[in-house]
Amino acid sequence: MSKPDTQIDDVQLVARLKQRDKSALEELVHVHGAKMYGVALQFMRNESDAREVMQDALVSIWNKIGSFEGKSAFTSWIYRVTANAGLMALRKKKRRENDISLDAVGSDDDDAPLPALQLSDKRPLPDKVAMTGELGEQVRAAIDQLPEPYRVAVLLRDVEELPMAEVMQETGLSEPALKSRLHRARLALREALLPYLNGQDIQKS
Amino acid sequence: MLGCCDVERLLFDYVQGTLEPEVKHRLDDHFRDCPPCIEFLRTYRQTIDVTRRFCCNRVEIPPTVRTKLEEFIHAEF
Repeated sequence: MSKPDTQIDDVQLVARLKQRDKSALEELVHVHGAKMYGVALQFMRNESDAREVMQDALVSIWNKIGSFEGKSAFTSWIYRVTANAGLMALRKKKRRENDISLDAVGSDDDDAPLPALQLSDKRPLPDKVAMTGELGEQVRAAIDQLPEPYRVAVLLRDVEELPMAEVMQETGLSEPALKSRLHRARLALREALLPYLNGQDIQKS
Repeated sequence: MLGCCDVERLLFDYVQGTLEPEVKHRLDDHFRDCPPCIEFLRTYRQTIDVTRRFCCNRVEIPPTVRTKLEEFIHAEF
């Protein structure tokens, strides 16, 4: 069976990056930049920080492309690199703010649900980001309102689909703490998105 | 027999497929008899699904950011 064009393009893109072809980086931004920016923006919630995360991700991709063996899809790999750059940037930001560590933020002893996420006021997302699709917009707005430790857990596990063990390692959380955090985040998202879920024909893509 | 109050406690592992088979079987029995809980399960799963599908999609890079990224690539690599 022949590979789809996008996969063939990615194979060529990887080969050019491995040959240190700098123009391949521009093409990478052209082809996959929108999704990378989307990942970065969900972590950082503002345009300037998201751009810096993308820059960090581009540096990582350039430096680590030699170790990309093609076992996973190239797109999964670059989104993961971007998510990791986002996580690192949040940690750096926390340190700058002289805050407590990301791992310790929020109480997981507290089983109370998170405060309701407000979607009805339709406040604009940070920066003027062009977005389409009401459900997509509401999903992003809901995630955007999650407290940071919950947002990070959802982004790593439910969006990037990292294995639980890897998310535990990245966040420093125990398994029960991570489960609790994810579950509470999902319940808050479910509550906020309920009007959009009912009657939706949700297909696995 | 498990009740509605057990569903929220066990839901995470049920959806993740990490419940003990015996507990999963008992929860399946409950779902068969409880439309509100099966509806809760359906929307919980949908939440995970739409989060994954819509979270970071269809976000366009603003032109100013795109320009700065291009400048960054030219300057740094």
